[in-house]
Amino acid sequence: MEFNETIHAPVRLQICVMLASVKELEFSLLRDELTVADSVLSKHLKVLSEAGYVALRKPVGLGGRPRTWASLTAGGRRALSGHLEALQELVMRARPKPGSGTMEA
Amino acid sequence: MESDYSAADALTDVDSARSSVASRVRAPGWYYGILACWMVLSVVSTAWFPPALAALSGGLIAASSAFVASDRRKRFRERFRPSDLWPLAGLVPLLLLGYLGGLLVRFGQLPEWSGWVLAALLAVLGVLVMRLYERSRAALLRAGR
Repeated sequence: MEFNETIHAPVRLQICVMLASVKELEFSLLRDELTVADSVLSKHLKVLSEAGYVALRKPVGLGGRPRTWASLTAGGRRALSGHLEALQELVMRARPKPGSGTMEA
Repeated sequence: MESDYSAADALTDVDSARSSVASRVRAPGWYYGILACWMVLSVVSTAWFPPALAALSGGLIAASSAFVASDRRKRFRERFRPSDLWPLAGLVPLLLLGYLGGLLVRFGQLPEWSGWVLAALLAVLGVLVMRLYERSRAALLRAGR
């Protein structure tokens, strides 16, 4: 369980969570789901790729145009899993204990 | 900048990202309902409907398949390649079997009860084939290609 600064950035966290659910995702789908510009998504994918969390491949699509596909690496899955556990832990710790008097009825 | 992004906010984003992907992966239940109706109609319309009504039900199957294909394109932004569609090819022999079974019932070669059994069996098999296709699609999530 380790808080991961690289993954914690909002867009990168969402990219990792989305990629964790599937084998791979196409660039335009990620961009549309996250409602970010191409350049923003490229930047975040580059950071994740350089950290070894995301693998990128560019097969040639139907129209002969290469399309970028992103997938989470095994290391990325481990890092995401640890980060999510760390987030849960933080939220649990921040929650007021029953009877502590910090919450009003 | 990112220190303002609390753990609770992050977990909310995690949930939203998960459901966003899920909506791209899961086919709605009514796809399966329509498919089961096709299978039942193929047997029942051939076996017991008047010819004009049987032809009409064939048209209904064709029209609803076009509707489902159009809905899929909008929903999943799928651009099919032939290789992505192979599991769906399994539905064609099932439909043909339904029509054949219906004809055999109509001409007394099979008892009436077997028409209903065949219709139910084909509905289950059709849903299984569709499920197989959806699973393979979900695993790859080829939307957007």
